[in-house]
Amino acid sequence: MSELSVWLPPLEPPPGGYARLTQALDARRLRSARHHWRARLLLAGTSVALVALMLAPLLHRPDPEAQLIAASLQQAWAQGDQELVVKNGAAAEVLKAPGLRVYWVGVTADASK
Amino acid sequence: MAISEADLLAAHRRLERPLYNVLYRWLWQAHDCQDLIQDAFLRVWDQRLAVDFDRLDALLWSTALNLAKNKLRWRALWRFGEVADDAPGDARDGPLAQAELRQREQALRRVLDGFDRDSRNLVLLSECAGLSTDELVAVFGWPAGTVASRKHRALARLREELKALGIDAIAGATHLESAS
Repeated sequence: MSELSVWLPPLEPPPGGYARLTQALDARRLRSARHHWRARLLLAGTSVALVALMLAPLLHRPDPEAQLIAASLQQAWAQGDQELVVKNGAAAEVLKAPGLRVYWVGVTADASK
Repeated sequence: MAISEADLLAAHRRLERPLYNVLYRWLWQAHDCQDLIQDAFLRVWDQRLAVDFDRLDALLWSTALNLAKNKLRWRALWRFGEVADDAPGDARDGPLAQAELRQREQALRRVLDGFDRDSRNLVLLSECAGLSTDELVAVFGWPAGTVASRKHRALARLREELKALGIDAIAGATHLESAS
């Protein structure tokens, strides 16, 4: 091989180097696969969140029942300290005190109930 | 472009021994050499997509030599962490053969310690790893003429300095009494 190798014979590396390398490569492959899965999950989650965020204004429509109740309450509030009249709904007095009335309000099919 | 795992493992089979022989003459510790060889292969594997198969060996050599340089810098910084050199060779060779080998390695170390990094690498890669001039050109990235002349100068100096220690390395005759 060379001039020097006659005087200084080549050294043998300690055994196990090849096995150690294959193990390290296997470990890297596993880690990389796990990393890919994590990245894919993260990407999917982010995409779903983005789509939901974009569609939110379209999906969010005011509930007609809630609108009716709100209108009735506003009307009652405007009338002052009188009997509460709720159209297309039902109201049960929960608490009555000077300057304060608390009603449970719900929407029913029959307004008389 | 890109190398496969089989390429890398084949390179390990091909280069582990020569790499060890070169790195040992830098680090003088078997365990460090083994770690460094492993590290070099893994680093090359990490950039496998950008590695051309034809350049694989040269890249492994230059990576390993750079890691050895960094390791020596680290050792110089943290001297208290330094451990004794390993005995080279196989314990099955017997204590006498081992002692002789150790003396030779020490003589070589004494001489190589006076070399600059490039000359030392040239000597080690050509003499301990058997790299041809073309392979040296690929590792160092110098023109062939530069590699040849630098290698010639470095080997001449090595011969001379070993002779000064009473060692005729070319003929294989040793007079280690004066070297020890």
